[in-house]
Amino acid sequence: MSKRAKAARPRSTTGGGLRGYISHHLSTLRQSLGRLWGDRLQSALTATVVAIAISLPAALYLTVENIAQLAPPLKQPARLSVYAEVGSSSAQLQELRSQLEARPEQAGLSYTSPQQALQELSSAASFAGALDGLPSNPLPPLFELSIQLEDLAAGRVSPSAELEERLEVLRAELAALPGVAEVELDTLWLQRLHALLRLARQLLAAGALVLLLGVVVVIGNSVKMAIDHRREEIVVIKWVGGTDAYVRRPFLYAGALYGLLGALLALLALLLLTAVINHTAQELASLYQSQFQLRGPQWREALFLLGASALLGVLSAYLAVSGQLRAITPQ
Amino acid sequence: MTSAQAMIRFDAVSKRYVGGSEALSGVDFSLAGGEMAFLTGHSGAGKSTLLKLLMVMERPSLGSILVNGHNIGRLPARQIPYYRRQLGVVFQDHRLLTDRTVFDNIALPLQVSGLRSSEIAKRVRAALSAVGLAGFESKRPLALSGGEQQRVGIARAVVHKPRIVLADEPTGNLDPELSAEIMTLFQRFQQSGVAVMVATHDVELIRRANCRVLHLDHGRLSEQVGYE
Repeated sequence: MSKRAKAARPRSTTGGGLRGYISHHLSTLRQSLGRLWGDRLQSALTATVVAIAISLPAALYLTVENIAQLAPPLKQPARLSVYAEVGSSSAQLQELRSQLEARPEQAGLSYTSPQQALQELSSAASFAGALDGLPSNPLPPLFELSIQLEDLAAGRVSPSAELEERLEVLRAELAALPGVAEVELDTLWLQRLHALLRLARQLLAAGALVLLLGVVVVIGNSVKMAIDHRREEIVVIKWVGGTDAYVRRPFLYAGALYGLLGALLALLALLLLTAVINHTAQELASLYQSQFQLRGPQWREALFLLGASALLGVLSAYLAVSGQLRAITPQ
Repeated sequence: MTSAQAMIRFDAVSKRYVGGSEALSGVDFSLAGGEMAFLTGHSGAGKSTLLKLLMVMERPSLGSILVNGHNIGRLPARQIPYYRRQLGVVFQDHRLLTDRTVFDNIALPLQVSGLRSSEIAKRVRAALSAVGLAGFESKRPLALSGGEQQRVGIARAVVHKPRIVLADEPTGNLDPELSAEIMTLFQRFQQSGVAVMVATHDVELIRRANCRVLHLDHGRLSEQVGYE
């Protein structure tokens, strides 16, 4: 510190230091809370707008994550289901099996007989009665063929048109084999879903950015109004030697509290929403024999939301105060 | 008096505002710790400009202002708050914060320097009893009379034991009896080693106090002792 700077500081004050600093922060926080409560309506309004701006992208995020949870992970290699004609003889099936095994793309082959398929189906409670009435087993023998294509192995998530074409050609070739009723490509839809999910996440990030900008404006505006209210106080504080940091501090706390309050409201809304929808979702899932559980915000995500929102509040307040502070000078 | 002893020293200080009018021209004077001076002159003579220069709300156009040996005309903006903590300022219109108690108003200069609350409470009570308002801690400024409000303002100006007290028309709205009380307070600070400068129109006040008078006329300073 320069000689002049040292001289400009007051004679050493007693009782300052860390404890004084902490107790000052605590009393500033207490005052900020008091002001927030004193101006309940305005605070509630600001917090609500912040909550809306936060809960929109958060709800979208949860939606995307839930869909992602539904989508099984994209496995390599890709899979084709080859259905043989109903009532094929074991010799015919043997012939088909050896032809499939001979395919160069083949990376694994499994067989499900009509009897196995029927047993699986009847173990599902809702079908048990219906299946008993059938005169004969209507299910086709099924070969599940794993295929390894070079392009797929490269791990591209969105299949190129060329790849789709090649898979389609393969499908047609297999469908033309004698004794084959139908061939289904199992993984293409999955790849498309994953590509869609990725797109949704990117859109979500962009949308969230815009809404967060809105949060900055809303909190900044509230803080600006608070500064206007307390203009006289700021002038007096500057007169008695309060630093800019001292003047700024209560407003930063106010910004943090707005952000925190908004995030709390948003979380509450999300929890409520998940609870309401979960009931319906589980009914739907049970129809599909799915163990699907609608996933609400997790602890980690909730804490992140609260922290990020409070930080955003501080940032907004800082921007607002810095603009105003220079304008308010003692006259 | 040598410059080393001077608490405040103006050397050929001029202040010209952007509009072009010269508010102060070639002002020289010095004031030592433990000294009191009146600053007089018609409105527009440059009194408030001189006070603003001392509070570093304005910078001199020419010349230097030394406070305690340091040129405040070139004080970096960052250092201004720390410099102001050496000053105590009393305003004609009190400038008390009406939404805070008397205690909180007086505590402000101590809070900005980050004192512990126990120390703040001790000093605020001492300042209140010094201005004869012991027990007024929890009152609101608007519940007080004009004279009481002014004394709260004075308590706020001295609670942090400043080296310099500046007062701008401190008795402007008060009757002669209250004015005399206020002046007694200032004289007490003076006797404890503080440099006191009181800007005033109050002829009667100056006559009775019998101390240095710095008279400003169209930005030029002349000095007398006592009132003629």
